[in-house]
Amino acid sequence: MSINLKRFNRINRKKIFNKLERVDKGAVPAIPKRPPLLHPQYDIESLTDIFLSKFSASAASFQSIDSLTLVPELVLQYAEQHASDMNVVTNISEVLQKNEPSLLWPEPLTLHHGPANGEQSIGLSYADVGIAETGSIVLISSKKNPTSVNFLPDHHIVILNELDIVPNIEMMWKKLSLVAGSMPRAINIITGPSRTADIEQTIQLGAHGPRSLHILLLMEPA
Amino acid sequence: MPSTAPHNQAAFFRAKSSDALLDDSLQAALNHAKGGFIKKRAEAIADVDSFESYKQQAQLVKNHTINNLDYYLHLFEQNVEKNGGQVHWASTPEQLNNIILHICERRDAKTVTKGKSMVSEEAYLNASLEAAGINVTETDLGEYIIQLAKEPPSHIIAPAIHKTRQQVEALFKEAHDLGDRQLDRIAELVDEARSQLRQKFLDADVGITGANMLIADTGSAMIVTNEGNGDLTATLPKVHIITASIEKVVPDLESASAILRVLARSATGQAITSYTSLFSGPRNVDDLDGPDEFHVVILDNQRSQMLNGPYEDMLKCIRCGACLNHCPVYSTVGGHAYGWVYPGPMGAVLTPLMTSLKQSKDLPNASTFCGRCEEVCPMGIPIPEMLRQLRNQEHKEHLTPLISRLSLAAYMWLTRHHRLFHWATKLTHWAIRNATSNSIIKTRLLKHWFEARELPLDDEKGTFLTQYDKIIKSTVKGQQ
Amino acid sequence: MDEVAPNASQDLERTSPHVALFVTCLVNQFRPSAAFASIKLLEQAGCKVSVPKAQTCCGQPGYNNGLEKEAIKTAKSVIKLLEDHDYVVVPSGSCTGMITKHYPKLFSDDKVWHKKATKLANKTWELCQFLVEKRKAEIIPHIALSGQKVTYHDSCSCKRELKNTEAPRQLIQKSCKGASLVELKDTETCCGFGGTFSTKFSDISARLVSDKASDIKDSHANVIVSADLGCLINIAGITARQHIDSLGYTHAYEVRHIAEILADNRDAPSMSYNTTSIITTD
Repeated sequence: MSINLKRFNRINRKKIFNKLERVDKGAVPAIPKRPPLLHPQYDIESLTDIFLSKFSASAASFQSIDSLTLVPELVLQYAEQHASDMNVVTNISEVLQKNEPSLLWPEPLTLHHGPANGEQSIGLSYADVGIAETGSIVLISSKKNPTSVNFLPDHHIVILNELDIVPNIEMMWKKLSLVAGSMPRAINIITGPSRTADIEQTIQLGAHGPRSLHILLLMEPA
Repeated sequence: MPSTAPHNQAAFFRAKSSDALLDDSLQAALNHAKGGFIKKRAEAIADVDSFESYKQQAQLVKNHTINNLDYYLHLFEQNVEKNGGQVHWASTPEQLNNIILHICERRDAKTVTKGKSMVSEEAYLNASLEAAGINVTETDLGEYIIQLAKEPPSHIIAPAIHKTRQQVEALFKEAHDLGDRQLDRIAELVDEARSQLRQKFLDADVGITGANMLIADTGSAMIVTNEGNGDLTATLPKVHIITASIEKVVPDLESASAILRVLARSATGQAITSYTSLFSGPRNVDDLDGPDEFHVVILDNQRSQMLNGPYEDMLKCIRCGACLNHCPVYSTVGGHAYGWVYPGPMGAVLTPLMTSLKQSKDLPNASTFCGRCEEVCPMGIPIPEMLRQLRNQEHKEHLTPLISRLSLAAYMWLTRHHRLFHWATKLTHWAIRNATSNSIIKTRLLKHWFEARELPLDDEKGTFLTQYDKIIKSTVKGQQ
Repeated sequence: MDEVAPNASQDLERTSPHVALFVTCLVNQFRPSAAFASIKLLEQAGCKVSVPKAQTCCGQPGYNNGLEKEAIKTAKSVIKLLEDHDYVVVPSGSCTGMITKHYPKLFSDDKVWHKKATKLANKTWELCQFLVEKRKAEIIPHIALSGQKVTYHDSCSCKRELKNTEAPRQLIQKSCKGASLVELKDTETCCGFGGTFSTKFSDISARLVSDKASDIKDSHANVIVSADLGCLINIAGITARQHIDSLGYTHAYEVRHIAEILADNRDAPSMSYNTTSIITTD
């Protein structure tokens, strides 16, 4: 195959754009103001409750915690109950340790750092945002949250601070204040475990991504 | 061996739909599917305060974008480049294939994993990659099943909806070397696919996915899935190629949110799918995973011709599949009968516009005009009206049978000549009443009707207008 | 809605409006009793009814099959015929939809005719909707169907084009005392008639109507009514074929236009009884 991709592109681009051009070429179109959205603009007090009710509908599970020191023990418990081995892939232990320097990972858990490679049963991440409207958690790709950790392990455990829950999808984008040129490579809005209904419309969890999603919801002490 | 037959078979709708009605396992699969999507969508819509307001917002976004398509495509291109990715333009499906082949060959790719992409189906991309010696694996479970079956998808969001679990089991047995392992349960089938595809994800050189939306403001592609296969395809290989088409662009993330609110509810009856992901370029410096090349190939394939014409609204289609799920014809004959990539009502509009009206002239006629497609369309696309426009075009281009053109023209002429019209009505009245089972009416003219049904007889006292006329006359006489 | 002056329109509500009955080509040919029943109902509702003699067909067969220009010509002749009446009432959702939704569209490039078409559209009503929504008519109850199970089949045009699902059901409940109104499992799906569709793709159409017939059977209804003759011919046709006895008679269902049961005008035999099979035994 020997096409000059650049030249090829230029020609095609011109061909397509010739057909698309508007009468008013130069003007920047003003996005019309959207009519008010008739869905609840949830009040701050109830965000956690709404998040949890939507979240549970997605076949995910949760435990509330009041301190990050509980995380290793709860991961161990979850692994003992659900996982086929004790391998955990995570890149947030530093984050946890920063807050809790004395944090210890109990045996027999084995911690792996870096991207997931399919050999760890459990992935552990720290969510950047939660969305009440849909019961979703949002994970942004970074050194602390490589995307493969969200998808390759059989079980995904995610820590979410209830203070990071926003009312709806728009507020989530706002909070992330994304700008072209400095975009994270991937942003995953995750709502429940992986699922498929491709065989006889029967819902089956764990198609290619995690079979289960478990949230550790960090609640402010009352 | 190409995994999908690279032929447009829309010309054979009549034969294929008749076969479909007699295909027992297809009918079993369709019957099984019937109602499921409809019920889930209805529940999802009832669950929100005002789905109508969601629809309005989404339509506003799309109308605005379609009116400024050049601006937003240009902005998208600039921003993808800012993010370190590349945008490629393809006027035709062949060009799309050439661009992707070129990218694959430059990176010496041997294996490709694919997320579901209807745009790539338009181009028969798999066949083209395979012809170049590249091994392609579809990773969406439904797509994987039909790839094994060497069939095209029969539904735009549930590609293997026409397969029963027994058929899937047989396909896996043939392809996977199962020994005497049984895969009776659906859970076992899903697990089998999961373990087979796991290594493919890890080994692939290039990952190709579709996109549900292209976000101009941030230069991102939004991909909506439930299985997570799209994310693995976009994350593990060293090159990520996105196939999309020009009408997929939206201004910004806020606009995308409006469409997200109607998309999954209309498609699968979910408030949101398991995974909604935004991919905006190659891996950043301190990322631990992700591809080092990011390409977006944008296909036109006749779409720009639809702008500013009677079919422009079709560019608002977000490929949710609600019109398929609610179409009585689609639900009875399945997707393959339609013969090309897009089946059902939206396909009956798109196939003639994107391929050839002459080759797909049955499709616009394969509708009872029941109007349910338009009713459930989150974008409010007037599909029946477009099918009617296509029928007008067929009539103008003499693509309809001469006999039906002539008899319809004669009938329409009669409607404007009431005395002759009523004379003709009386003649038909007489003919039907006196038709024996071997008369030309039953064996030729209305043969198809009589194959399944009787024709109710009319009143022996004559047509209503005849009877009414007599009554009026006798009343007048009585009054005199 | 009406483009009649406000005073005139108030007068219309008080006094008896002049209603033209557009019977439609199918009622004219296949079901005169539905037209007579419609006249009876309209007169009971205080209307002066006239039947324009020169009426034929709304032009839908051409309009839906690519003959747009012919449809424009036919629409003009229908508009001319009907425009001078206070109201036009049609015992068919599909033909009402043609006049109210599609005629104005046909003249989108012709200001003069668009105005005329819109004016006609605004005063044209499907029978049940006219009685309930426009006339708020008191229907005269009868007990002729007492003890029977009646089901109403929504035609797609009534349901989707006219958003007319409540009026017919209300009327049945008010008029047919002692009868119970039962619903089909699926009231959303088309019966498969679709005008010329039933002959273009007869096998698909036949499958759809036989699905409808099994829903009807499951509902245990014995009286089937609808406001569109197309659907009724289709449904009567399949139930007749499926339930023919040794003499060629069908007894299973009473299939009628809704006007016939509302007006208790049931002298004509059931549409599924009175079929071509009766006289065509060789």
